[in-house]
Amino acid sequence: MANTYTLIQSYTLASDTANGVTFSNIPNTYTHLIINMSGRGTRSTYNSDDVRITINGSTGSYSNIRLYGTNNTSSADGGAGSGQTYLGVVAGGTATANVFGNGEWFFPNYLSSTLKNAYANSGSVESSNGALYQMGIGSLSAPTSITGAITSIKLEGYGSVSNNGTLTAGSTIYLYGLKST
Amino acid sequence: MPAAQTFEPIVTYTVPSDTNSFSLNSLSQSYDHLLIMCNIKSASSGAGLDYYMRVNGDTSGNYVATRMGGGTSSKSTARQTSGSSYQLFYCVAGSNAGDWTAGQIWIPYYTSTNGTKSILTNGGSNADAGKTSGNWGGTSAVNAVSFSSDAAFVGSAYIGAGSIFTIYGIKGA
Repeated sequence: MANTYTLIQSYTLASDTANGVTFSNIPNTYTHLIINMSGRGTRSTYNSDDVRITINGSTGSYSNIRLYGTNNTSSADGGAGSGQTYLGVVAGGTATANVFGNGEWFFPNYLSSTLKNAYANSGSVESSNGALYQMGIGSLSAPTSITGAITSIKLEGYGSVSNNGTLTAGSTIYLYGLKST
Repeated sequence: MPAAQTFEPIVTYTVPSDTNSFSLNSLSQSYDHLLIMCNIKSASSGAGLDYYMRVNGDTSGNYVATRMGGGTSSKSTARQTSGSSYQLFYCVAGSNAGDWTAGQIWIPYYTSTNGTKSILTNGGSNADAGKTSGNWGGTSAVNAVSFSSDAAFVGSAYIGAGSIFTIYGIKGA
């Protein structure tokens, strides 16, 4: 019987890694993709770090929606542009040592020739220092210039188009392929 | 002997033409949980247009839910405490025709006849994102699900051709 939920590739970072990780040459033999990550960024003064997603290496105009809670405060933001590539959160640079944030990133119908989108559930966990931590959900639409299948996905900590982010040692990232038949 | 498969596609449905609603029936009862993964194409401009589902064709006021969601600057929560004739699943249409919405719907223990069924959903587009924790009040096993872009399951055809829904069955052992 065919395996329908298959690990394609995984990373366990042995050291802090600038630019995060990239899943390249993603096979075109599945229907949906799921990424599970237990991660931590290095963004200073933040206990939670945004995750920046780059699809097929594109620096075009993404659009995103983010809903998140930070202790007792809820927030929403997002928009469109080359910098709107954030989807999900992990632990940040000033989180308690050894604290990681966890989440799932879902890329449905990734072989489609039309617009790609993704959805994430994620959060950086509470710990004993009482500092601010976040959980959130969000969605991301890829640039319309991407007209083929998703062949690569890059995940990194907070950064910008010209200032890439880091994922720290101990972060683990798994890419799964799901078949529909 | 190969290990038993614990995560299997039961049915995949690609919407053949723009539609308002459709049903996936005769779902296998051989699993413990259902996970529906969908990618829905907006067939018309309609930012904030919600999508809805029903279980076993039940049109009575048997659905309740709590939802949270929002857009680029707004956020809200709502609780549907009185019975509704549909379960809203928080996948919201994109801003323009042709935009796509990603969604996941969990129905754990869908074959149980000991109680009502929880329905957990996640979804988002370029217009909105959110989650819903809902409940269907029926106690029979879930054997069919229906989807619509209108709470009354009538109206305009907003689910676009090419939208894809895959229902996976998951075994606990």
